[in-house]
Amino acid sequence: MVDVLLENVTKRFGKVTAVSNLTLEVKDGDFMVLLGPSGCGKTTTLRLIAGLETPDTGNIYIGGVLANDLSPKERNVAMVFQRYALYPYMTVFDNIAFPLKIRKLPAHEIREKVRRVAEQLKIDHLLDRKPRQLSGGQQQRVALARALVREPQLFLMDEPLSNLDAKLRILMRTELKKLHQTLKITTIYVTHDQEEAMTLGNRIAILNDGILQQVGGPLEVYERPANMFVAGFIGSPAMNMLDGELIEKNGKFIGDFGIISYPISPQVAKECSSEKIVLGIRPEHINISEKRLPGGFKAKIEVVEPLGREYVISINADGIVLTVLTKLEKLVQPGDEVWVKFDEENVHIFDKKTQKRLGKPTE
Amino acid sequence: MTNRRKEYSFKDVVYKVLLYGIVCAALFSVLFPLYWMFSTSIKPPQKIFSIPPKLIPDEISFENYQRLFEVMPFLRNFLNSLIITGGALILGLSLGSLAAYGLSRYPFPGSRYFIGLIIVSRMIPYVAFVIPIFLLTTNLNLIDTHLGVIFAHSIFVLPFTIWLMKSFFDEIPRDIEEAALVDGCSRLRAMLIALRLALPGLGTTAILTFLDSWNEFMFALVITRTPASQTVPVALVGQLERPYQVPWGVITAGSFLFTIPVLALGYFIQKYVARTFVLGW
Repeated sequence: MVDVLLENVTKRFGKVTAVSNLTLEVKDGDFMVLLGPSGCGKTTTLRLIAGLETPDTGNIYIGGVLANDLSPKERNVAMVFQRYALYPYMTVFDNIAFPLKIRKLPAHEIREKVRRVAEQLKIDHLLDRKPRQLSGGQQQRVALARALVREPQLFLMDEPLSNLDAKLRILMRTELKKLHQTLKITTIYVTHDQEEAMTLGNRIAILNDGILQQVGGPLEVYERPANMFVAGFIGSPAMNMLDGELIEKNGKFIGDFGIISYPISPQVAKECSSEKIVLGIRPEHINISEKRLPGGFKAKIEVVEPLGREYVISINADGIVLTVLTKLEKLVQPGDEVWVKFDEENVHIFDKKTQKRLGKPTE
Repeated sequence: MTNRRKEYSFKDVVYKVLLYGIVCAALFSVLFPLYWMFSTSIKPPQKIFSIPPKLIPDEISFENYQRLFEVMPFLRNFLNSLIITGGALILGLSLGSLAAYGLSRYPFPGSRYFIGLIIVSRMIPYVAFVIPIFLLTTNLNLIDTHLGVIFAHSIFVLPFTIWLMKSFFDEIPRDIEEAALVDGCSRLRAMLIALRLALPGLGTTAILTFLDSWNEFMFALVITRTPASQTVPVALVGQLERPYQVPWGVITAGSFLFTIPVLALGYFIQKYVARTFVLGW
């Protein structure tokens, strides 16, 4: 187990900057998830840590040791690849044993370690098979076993669940979490799936265009997103965003968002770079009712999508479309008029120009 | 359940007849010279030019095969062909695979044009290389040596080997080599894993290289001088220069024996070679 520190790391591919001046600390025993859309630099960051890429500038420390010039094999890290990268001509046993054979461990020790890790991952009955004879989930486990058998100091995982079907993905997610809780090996996990990130990671680093947007615990990034990108990327359905203006009246500040306005505290107003502001509200923090809601506004139901336990409802208020996630007491139909009210405690104000979150209106 | 026979329309029948007709004509044009070579080799020498020509010999004789070993050092020539082809195969494949791996895994600005240049060099009539290669081998004191011909054949087969092996390496996911690197392999060992995965491609390339070198005549003719280094094609053509009478029976017997390894190889690897040309790798 080790901690990992990336210090002002930049990596360019030709004219494209994949990772830009990234500083990130992964603490010993962390399950750190690198989250972001395709092309945000998360896989490049992982490859930089693995030693498969060299940073153009900056330093990478693994366990306090500067690793910039260390080859992948000198870093004692194990990596699980998106497409598993099993050796197709080797049996499952040989695939798992390969890293140990490279290290010239005695045969009996290799057998013992492979057997133990295979039992742990419930693939001990597959040891004589070739990868092509295995299902996606089984291949996944073999890839994990190959990484585990070395007892590495750091685990790197590059979207290891993305090739599995939805049901298996949830199952493997739980197993990965259990595995981490048991072994407590520092893990860096790359995904573009925010649900996976929220459930697996004890810390999440959100990247966009090679730039780190925010690092924090799952609830922290959900409840206090650092900027509009994080607010929009984390959470499904995505956070509703309403453009507005900051107006000063008699020394008091008001955020006017067309369908609704909020008093803005001087502290929040002071942070604004211009009068253009954005209100963010998560779909589950919007209440709708057939009865009049004081401080609310009227809207028309456009689409009702049942999810089972709750509904995703699109509403239209004076041309502004909002998404609401709610448990309905009485089924509403498209075309119905309802009263809408935002849960004021959960309203976020962003600076439109800098995209930064300024706080809650009353903060 | 009723058995329904598929009914063919007139168009289908014409299409099939035309298709099989073309295939038969192509097969005939390939197989007939082979058959004629074989049937000539087992005719008594005096009956080779009998009029009318006989498709099936009325008398079978192995006299030509006996004379083959008397009039020329056929075994020595055959061994020379094996040594030279083997040498060209090893040199061409090892250098070609390394170059192909490098081009596949470490592209550089303009590497696509570089690969194009390699292919173009293969398209130049190889007779154009005869004089420069002759001068090179002379300067290197390699005239009339196996090494001289191996050197020439390697130059000749390399572009094709590089091009073909590169396309095989391109098909192998990099993930596997990277997994090997993370697992603790050196770069060379990771390359060997890629090579192991490209083994079907390496086999196909080896066979095509073998055929190229085995059948090559021009370079071998220019570089070799004595039976100690002459390959079978050069030695057989040498028989044409005999005064008084060309021993056609001996030449066909030698040619037939020389063709056997190629036929055997072709039989076993046709599937892979066909795949190479149909799929482009």
